Amino acid sequence: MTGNISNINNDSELIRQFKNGDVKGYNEIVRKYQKQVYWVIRKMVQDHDEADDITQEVFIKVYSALKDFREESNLFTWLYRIATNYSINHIKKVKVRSTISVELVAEPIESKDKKADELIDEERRRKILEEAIETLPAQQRAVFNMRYYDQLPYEEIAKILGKSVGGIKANYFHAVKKIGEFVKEKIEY
Amino acid sequence: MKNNINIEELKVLIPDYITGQIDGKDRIAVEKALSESSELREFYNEMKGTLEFVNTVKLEEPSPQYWNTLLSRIHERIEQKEASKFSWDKVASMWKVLVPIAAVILIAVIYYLVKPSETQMTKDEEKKIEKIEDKKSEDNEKQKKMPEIKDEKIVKEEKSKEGDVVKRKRSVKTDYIVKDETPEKEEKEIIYEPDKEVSYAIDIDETSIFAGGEGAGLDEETVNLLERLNEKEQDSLLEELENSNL
Repeated sequence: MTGNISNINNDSELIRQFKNGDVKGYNEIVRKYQKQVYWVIRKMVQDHDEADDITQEVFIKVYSALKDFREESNLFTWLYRIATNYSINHIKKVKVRSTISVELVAEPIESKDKKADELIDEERRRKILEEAIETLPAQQRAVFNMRYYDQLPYEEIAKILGKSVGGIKANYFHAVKKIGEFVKEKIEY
Repeated sequence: MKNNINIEELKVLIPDYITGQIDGKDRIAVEKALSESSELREFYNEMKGTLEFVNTVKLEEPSPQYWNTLLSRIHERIEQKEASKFSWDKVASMWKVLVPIAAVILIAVIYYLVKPSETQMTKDEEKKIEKIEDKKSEDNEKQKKMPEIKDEKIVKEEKSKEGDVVKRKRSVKTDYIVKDETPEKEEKEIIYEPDKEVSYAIDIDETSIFAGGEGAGLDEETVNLLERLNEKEQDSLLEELENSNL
C-alpha cells in the first residue's frame, strides 16, 4: 500500500449519492478503499483473518456513520482513522501471544560469519518482523505503519490519532529502535 | 534548522533520512553530523539494517477472489446487523404495551400481599372467637355434668293477679337420669312472672283477636260474660277490650 491519500476526486459525489439513499455510492467507496483499509489493518494485526474481520467491521461502521460524515477531513483520512482505531482496540483486547510459534525465533542464529540473508528465508523473516511489531504498543505500531509503509506526513498522523506532531515523531523513532533491537537479538547482520 | 542541534535530536531524524522522508535543511544537518560523529554513523548503520530488514519482508497478499467477495460479505453482515436491530426495535415497541401491563400486575400483586384478606381476622376478633369457643366448651362441660331430664310433669298450676301483673304458679315434678345411679326425683315450683306489662299486653293483643277463651288469654270472668252475650255484643265487648289495651 502506498501512502497516497490524495485520491479523493469523486469522494464527495459518492458520499452525496449515499446520503441521497443510493447504496451505489457506498459500494463504490468500499471498492475504492478496501485494499488500503485492509492493509492499514493487516500491518497492525498481522493476521489475515483478523484483518479481514476488522476490515468488514470498519466498512459496516462507515455504512452507519457515513450519513453523518461532515467532510471536515477527507474521506480516506476518516477511513484511516476508523481502521487504525479499530486495530488499536483489537490489539489491546487480544491477549499477547504467549507462545512463540516459530521455532526458529527461539533459536538465535548461531553463525555470525554467514550472512543472515543466507540463513533466513522469507517466511522466517516475516515471522521475526511480525513478532517484533507485536512487541510495540498499539499506538507506536500504528505510527510505524503510517510513517514507514504509508509515508504519511507527521501532521496527518497526528491528526488521525489526535496526538501532537512531536509525540508522533518520538513514537516513530522508538518504534524503529525497538524493532531493530528485537531483530538484532535474533539475527546478527 | 538550528546549528546547535544535539546528537539525540539528530538520531530522531535518522529513520526519515534513510527512507528519504526528510526536508532539505534537516537532510543537510544529518549528513554533516554523520561525517563528523562516529557514534551517529553507528546508529545510522543500525537503523538502516533494521529498515532494510523490514523492507525485505513482504506480507502475503490475499487472493483476487478475496477482493471480489469482500463487498458482498460486508453487505451480508450489514443485513444481519439490521435484522437484529429490527428485532430489537420490535421488542422496544412491545415494551410500550408490556410495561403498563406488567405495572398493573405488579400493583395488583403488591396490593394482594400488603392488604389483609377479608377472611383474615384481626387479633381482637381472634381473641373474641377464642373467648366464645372457651365459653361454649365450658357450657358443654356443664351440660355434660347436668343430669338428663327423663320426665317432667306439671303437678299443680295456680294463677293469681296482683295489680296488672299476672302470676302463674306451677309445681313441676322432674325425673333425672343420673349415670350409674338410680333416677332422682325432684319437685319444684316455677313462678312465671312477666317482667313488664307490655309483654302481657302483647300477649293479649296477639291472642284476643284470633282466638277465644282461656287460650286467647282472657280471664274466666270475661269468658263467662262472653258466653252470655250474643254475637254482636261479644264483638263490641272484644272491641272495647282491644281498644282499652291499646
